Amino acid sequence: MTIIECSGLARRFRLNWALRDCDLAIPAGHVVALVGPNGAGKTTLLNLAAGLLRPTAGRLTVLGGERPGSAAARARIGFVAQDAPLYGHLPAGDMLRVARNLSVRWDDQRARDRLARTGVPLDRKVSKLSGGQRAQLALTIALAKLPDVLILDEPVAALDPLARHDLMGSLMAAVAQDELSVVFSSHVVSELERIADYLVVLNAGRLQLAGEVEALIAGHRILTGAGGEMSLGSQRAAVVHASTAAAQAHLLVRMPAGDQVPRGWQSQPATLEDLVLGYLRDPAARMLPGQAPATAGEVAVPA
Amino acid sequence: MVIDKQTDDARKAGGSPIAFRLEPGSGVPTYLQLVHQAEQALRLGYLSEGDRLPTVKEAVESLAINPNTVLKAYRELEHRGLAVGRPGQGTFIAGTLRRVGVAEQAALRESLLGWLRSADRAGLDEDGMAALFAASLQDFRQLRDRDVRRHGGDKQDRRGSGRASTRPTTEGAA
Amino acid sequence: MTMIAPPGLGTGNGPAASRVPWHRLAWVTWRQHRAALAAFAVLAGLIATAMAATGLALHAASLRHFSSRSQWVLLDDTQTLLELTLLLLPVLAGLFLGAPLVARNFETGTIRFSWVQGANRTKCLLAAVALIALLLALIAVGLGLEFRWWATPLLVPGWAWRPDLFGLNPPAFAGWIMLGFSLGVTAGAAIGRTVPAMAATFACYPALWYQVAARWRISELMRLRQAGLHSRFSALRSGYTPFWYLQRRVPAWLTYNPGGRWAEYQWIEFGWLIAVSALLIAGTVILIRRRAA
Repeated sequence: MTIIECSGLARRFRLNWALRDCDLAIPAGHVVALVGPNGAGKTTLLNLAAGLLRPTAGRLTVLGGERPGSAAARARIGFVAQDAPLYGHLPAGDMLRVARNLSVRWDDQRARDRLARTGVPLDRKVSKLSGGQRAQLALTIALAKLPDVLILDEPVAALDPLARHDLMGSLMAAVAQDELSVVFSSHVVSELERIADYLVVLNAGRLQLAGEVEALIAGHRILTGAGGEMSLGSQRAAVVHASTAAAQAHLLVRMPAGDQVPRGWQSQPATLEDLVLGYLRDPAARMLPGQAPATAGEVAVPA
Repeated sequence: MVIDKQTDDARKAGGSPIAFRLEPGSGVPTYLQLVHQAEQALRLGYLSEGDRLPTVKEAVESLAINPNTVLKAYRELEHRGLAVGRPGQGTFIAGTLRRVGVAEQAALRESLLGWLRSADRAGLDEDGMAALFAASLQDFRQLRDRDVRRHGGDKQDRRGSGRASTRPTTEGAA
Repeated sequence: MTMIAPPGLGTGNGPAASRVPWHRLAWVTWRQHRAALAAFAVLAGLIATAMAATGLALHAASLRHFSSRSQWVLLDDTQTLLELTLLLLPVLAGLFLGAPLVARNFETGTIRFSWVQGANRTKCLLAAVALIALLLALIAVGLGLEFRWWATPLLVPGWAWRPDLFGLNPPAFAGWIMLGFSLGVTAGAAIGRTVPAMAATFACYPALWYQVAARWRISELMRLRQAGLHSRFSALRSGYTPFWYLQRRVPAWLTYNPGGRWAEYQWIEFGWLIAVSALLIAGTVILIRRRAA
């Protein structure tokens, strides 16, 4: 089952295209990281999937064919929007009751246990909670409705490192406990490799990269070699991004796992961070499942 | 590499004797770090046969990593014959690391000294030797991983990091 | 890759239905707006108390045929004050209950929570509107009935048809308070920000009320047409009744509605007020369905 499937999805706000030509088929059972710079269209895509926005063009279905925003989709998707919107003037316990009364399914015991474990006081007003506590409360509310998919828009963006670790840890525990798929967006890349097993890279409203993390990492290398007019020979390697200095060049190349490293170059596995940054720096580079990959770079390395 | 050893109380309460930690900058894949930590705990005596490894939920909550990583680590431990998963209960230590015999250790040490002498003759300094060794160890790990991936659950390991003779068990990690 | 672990989906002790029931949504509305509703109720209570106190004095004075001048002054002052307050109540309902209903959720972004949690957005809105409208109607009817009791000593022929007071009787007053509230809700949904919506409501409602009170009522209800002596506006302000004209032998064409039709006109007014309110709420539903969060 695909949890989010779109073809040609596009969304325009007045004159500005926030998202264009989006073709995705995100499978269930993964922790999906949606990555891109600010303004890339991540929030737009997630809001479309949650049913808060309607597409300007293209098709979008969630949970294997449901219309986003339909009653079935609402019941099975847990959504935490950016900045975890909650009713600020209510105490946390009443906020929980409100959420319970708005939900179709609800596990109250689990919600209360979780709040107790994460140290969120039930009698304090939501507006007086710390950022980490609010995020935990919002996550608890989303989890308590027993969703099949959890969609989180930049859940850790405003949190301090400890709160960030705690939130991600408890999110992973929830994933381990239920058969939950998670889609979360982030503009911080450095800690993604431990958490995500499916990656989607958005840049300026267009998709650049989508696929399982393991496959992506296996299919790319960092080649280090001398700068100057060196070519990769007749290798079937496509350069995604080259960073060159006078005497040395680092190339992020797309190379099938079994291929031999060209002579004169040293190969290192690419990390997720290398991948994301490399693709973001070359917006024309693309590698999407089911499509011919594209690169901006040439095979020969400029001096 | 640090391993947290939990108190006997925790052990008696049914918790795992060990807790995992990560070294994010080490360049070693996360799941392998977990495997090595389990092996080291076994080697040092923190874990003995029948002890329960941390549940997937416990491990991911404290480390903030993908549950599949822990699953993969436990599968690898099963392939090495060190652990067995019981559905609904957890993953338990089932074997022991084969200790490399004293004579074998001495022989290995001799051959390593030989390699160091050749490196010295070639003009490599100590840091260079260490770097070359680290890079080769990395390559060795990758080759072994690739073999493991390619050959699935087969037992074809001739190098032997110590295996009991068990067949791979079900993925019953909780 | 498959995920792991025995299905941990709890047995859940919440509702197992596939739709969110109305009474739960009503509770959510109550919990969210209980401060404003309570304040409104307190205000209504204060007005009711004031009316009761002055009304008792009024009734006592009327038994003595308003013998002292101070009683006239008291009557005059309290009458004006009460009328003003009662006329303002619908505006206050629109300002503090209607405008924030939708607009505050837009401003704080909480629709990104309430519209995806489970209930559909139309149902959320209608439940909120229904609950608050019901409470407002009850308050309006209560105050209107009390006003009728309060004003009985003033009863002179034609009093009940006074253009400025016609709308304070129970059916019409309920209608007006609904209109004020609905105006606020629609303004909030259209404008999206609470304070500008309040300003819009504050501008619209009195204009609408004046149109009805000063023009339509005078022409339709009183059917008072006179030859040139007073403008219609001053007729409203001074509350001239046909009796006044008869007394002073001012020549005037009088066509009037027979007293028995008073109730009919009340319900007509109530009817079209409710119709306009319903249209406004329907407009609000259309606005929120089209809204991009």
